Amino acid sequence: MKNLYRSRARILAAIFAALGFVILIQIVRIQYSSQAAAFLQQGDRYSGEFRTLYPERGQIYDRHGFLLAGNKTVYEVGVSLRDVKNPNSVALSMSVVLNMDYDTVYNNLINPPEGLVYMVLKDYVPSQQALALKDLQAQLAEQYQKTGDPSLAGLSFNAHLQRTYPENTLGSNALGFVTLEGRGYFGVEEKYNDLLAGVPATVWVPESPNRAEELPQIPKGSDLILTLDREVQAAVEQILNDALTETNAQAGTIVVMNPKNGEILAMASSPQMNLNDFSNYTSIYHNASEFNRAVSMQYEPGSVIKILTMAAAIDSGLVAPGTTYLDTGFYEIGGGYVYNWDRGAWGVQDMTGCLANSLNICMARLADLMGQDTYYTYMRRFGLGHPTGIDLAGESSGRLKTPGDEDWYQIDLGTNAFGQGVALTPIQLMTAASALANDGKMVYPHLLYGMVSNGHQYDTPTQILGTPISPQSARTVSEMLAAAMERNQSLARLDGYRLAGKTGTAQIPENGVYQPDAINASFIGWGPLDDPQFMIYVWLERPEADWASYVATPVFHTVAEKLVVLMKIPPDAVRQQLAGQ
Amino acid sequence: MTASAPVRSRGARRTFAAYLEAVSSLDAGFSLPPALRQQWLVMFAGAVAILAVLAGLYLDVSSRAAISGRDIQSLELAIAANERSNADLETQLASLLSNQTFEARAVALGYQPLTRDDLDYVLVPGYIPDNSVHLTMESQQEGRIANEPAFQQSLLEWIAQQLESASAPLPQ
Repeated sequence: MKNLYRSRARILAAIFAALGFVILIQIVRIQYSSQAAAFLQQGDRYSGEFRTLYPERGQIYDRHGFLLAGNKTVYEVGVSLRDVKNPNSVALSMSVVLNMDYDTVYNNLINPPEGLVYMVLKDYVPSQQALALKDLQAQLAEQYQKTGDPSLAGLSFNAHLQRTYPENTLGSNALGFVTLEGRGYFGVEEKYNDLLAGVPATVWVPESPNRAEELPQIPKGSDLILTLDREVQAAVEQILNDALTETNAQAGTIVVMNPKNGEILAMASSPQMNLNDFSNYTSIYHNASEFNRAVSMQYEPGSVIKILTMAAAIDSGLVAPGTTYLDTGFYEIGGGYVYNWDRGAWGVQDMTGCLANSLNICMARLADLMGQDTYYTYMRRFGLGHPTGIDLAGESSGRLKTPGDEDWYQIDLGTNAFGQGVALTPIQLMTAASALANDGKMVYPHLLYGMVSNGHQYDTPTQILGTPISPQSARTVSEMLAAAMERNQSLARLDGYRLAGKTGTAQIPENGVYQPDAINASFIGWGPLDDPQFMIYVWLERPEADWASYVATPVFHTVAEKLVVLMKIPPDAVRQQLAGQ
Repeated sequence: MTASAPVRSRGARRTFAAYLEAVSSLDAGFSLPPALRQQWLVMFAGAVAILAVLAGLYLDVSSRAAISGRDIQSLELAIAANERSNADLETQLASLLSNQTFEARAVALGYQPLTRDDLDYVLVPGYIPDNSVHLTMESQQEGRIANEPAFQQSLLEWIAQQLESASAPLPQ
């Protein structure tokens, strides 16, 4: 009997040993089978996930450290379909709290696409609403713990950052905006998008806590410090909007720049938009160039360009301020005639009178005497027809026809000299005019004062674009412009401060014909004359007025008056007295 | 119809023979003297105990690693939440200090915009306005602390110093 049990036990032991041996063989076989790689891959796939870490977008400050563009927390509200207990509750809460359509949410929850385990219900939900939903979810979970009905189980909240603009419309034309996809459009946001956005990194994040590692620190995007002065910007926008209302102009632009270093202190264009509601863009602007007229919109500037013609004539040695000529009321050039703005003959005029009275004939004559080569060489030196390179997206290059172009005619030499047949942007003319205010040195206009990256600040140095005229010529023309303003009692003058400037009234061509009742009114000026600290450009499009001196000049005066207060610039007498002490 | 008898291969026969021999050995083991058998049992129990201790240690270490891993993951989440909170607070502060808000408060308090006529300029000897912009803390000097060594002497030097001070004569 004992032997019988022993033999049975041996047989059983043999069976189990054989089974164990088979299992071992199978383990080894699987390790080296053709499917082994696929199994390994499958295991790896579920052991973690590749996660893309997006750095926080850099902030934008004005020159005094006021935040112009920052970030705020918003939520992606989603639902884990397996965990939903009551679709009705979820749909109802989304409808009430997030103003979503109940039927749409409910149907999506009831009939989700095949294989879907997680569904995004709404993204970019403001914090308050997301927190309200979270509270509701917690309350329902507590109150209806046993029955589970109603329940918001399955709702999940994924926090992330979204661009926000605390100043709303302030500086909108220069700043641009960031869309929900995180890409910058227009202005600084587009120009410096790569710097601001930083470099995202994709890392493998294991699910197992045993393999958890510290995520790499992704440096946030660079912070930008702009040259804009918030107070000046606000004042300029206010003045521009008031001017548009008073003159019934269709649009307008005011730019304030430091002519010594090219720093843009304010850049206002109409209309402004609340950058937090960037989805309204298409209803506010008809095309992209309207977003910032100061850099994107080119136009015939009219008489403001005479300062460049006169600078070329003075610098080339053709004339001096006291040089006179006889104005007969017309001038023949290239087979055509040019006339003064009033079609009158102004008799004997010196060069200052030529500027003071804004005489077209004088300018056409100067250009003609200089000759096309000299004249266009100077205009090219002033950068006309080329983008300035300002650090804003969408800059237009303007148009300067030159000899050799198919559409250039000899008469263009005369008309270009007083601002017809040439297209410029306000920033182009300011850049060119900076040579006059800055001892002949033309500066690079820019908005970036500096950038802060990894705790270090890197400032933008002043860049000189060229020296189109000599320092002496620059001072001479500036003095002539100041004298011209004083001679004709310009409304631009400011008591206690000597300023230099020039108006520009340009009829607007439509279908090749200049319209008598549609003008672009401009004014460019700078001051104080002996130590220029600001340059102002005013452009009003189609105001209800005949001459820029009635509409653009007072606006310049108002801006200058505001600037001397905000920039703490003492009157000339006080300044000279303080300098003498 | 023919039926062939199962044929055992030579290899199978050998394997079976080896198995029978092993089983016989095990049987022989049961027939060992009690003292020797006890010795075997104690050794076996000891081996099992050592294995259990090792397994326990492994479990302890791995559970600690898992807890640390969870801590890391929750800290990562906390860091991200703090960064978002910082951004939120900075934006809220900027909204409170925005130009529009300031202007509204100033008007509500009865302030008037400054005009040129309200200004008086006085000379302050030695005052030079600083118009530069600094958004970073230049005085931070991050590198200095990091470059300073935590210890100024080696372990041997330290021991020598301790011995020296211990063997020094007591002050009178």
